Amino acid sequence: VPQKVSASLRDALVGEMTNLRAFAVSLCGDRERADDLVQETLFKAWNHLDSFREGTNLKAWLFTILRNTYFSERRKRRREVEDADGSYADQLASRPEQPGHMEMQDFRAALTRLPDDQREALVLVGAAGFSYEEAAEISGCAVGTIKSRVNRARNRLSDMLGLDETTDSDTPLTKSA
Amino acid sequence: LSPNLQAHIGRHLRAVFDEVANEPLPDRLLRLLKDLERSGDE
Repeated sequence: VPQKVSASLRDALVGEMTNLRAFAVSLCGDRERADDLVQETLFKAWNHLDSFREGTNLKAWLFTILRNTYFSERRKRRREVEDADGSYADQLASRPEQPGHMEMQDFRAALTRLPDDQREALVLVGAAGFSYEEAAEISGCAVGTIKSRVNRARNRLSDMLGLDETTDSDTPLTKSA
Repeated sequence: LSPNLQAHIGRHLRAVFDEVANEPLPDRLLRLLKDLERSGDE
């Protein structure tokens, strides 16, 4: 346990919790597991706050801890359960949805079918508000790699959802669009 | 991919993300935060 945590750092940490949780859900597709991940991330972050330099990017630091935790567990798990991919996708697809949200359901299902690294890159840049440079640092890869993952993710989503160039950005997302 | 399709995907992606980000934190995480804060104050 760190000696002294400044109130501002503590508040900043708490302030990132909901975004961190949304990132966790987008990675693993399951709220229960996501909450486990956030919990573990919070523990690790709290115990290593002395290694965090105040004034640097706290959000990126937390996201890095969370994704490293997720991917190292996933590697372990993969050795144990071969069809982990399939079971995550199934869990997510069977989540109860509000009526009238079919297009979001389709989109969410397509998102889970992306390879992990592509989904991560797309979410970091397209939803969590990170630059390509920050996303590269979080994922521990080159900026060009992030850019190509994001491009491949978009193209793959577009294929899965049957989007074409006539799709209006304001129209609902449907397979027949 | 056209800017139109990129915008279309971006809009849905943010909706999926924000749906979770706008949820209140579950009790167990709130409890953990409280515990950590207490341990930090000691």
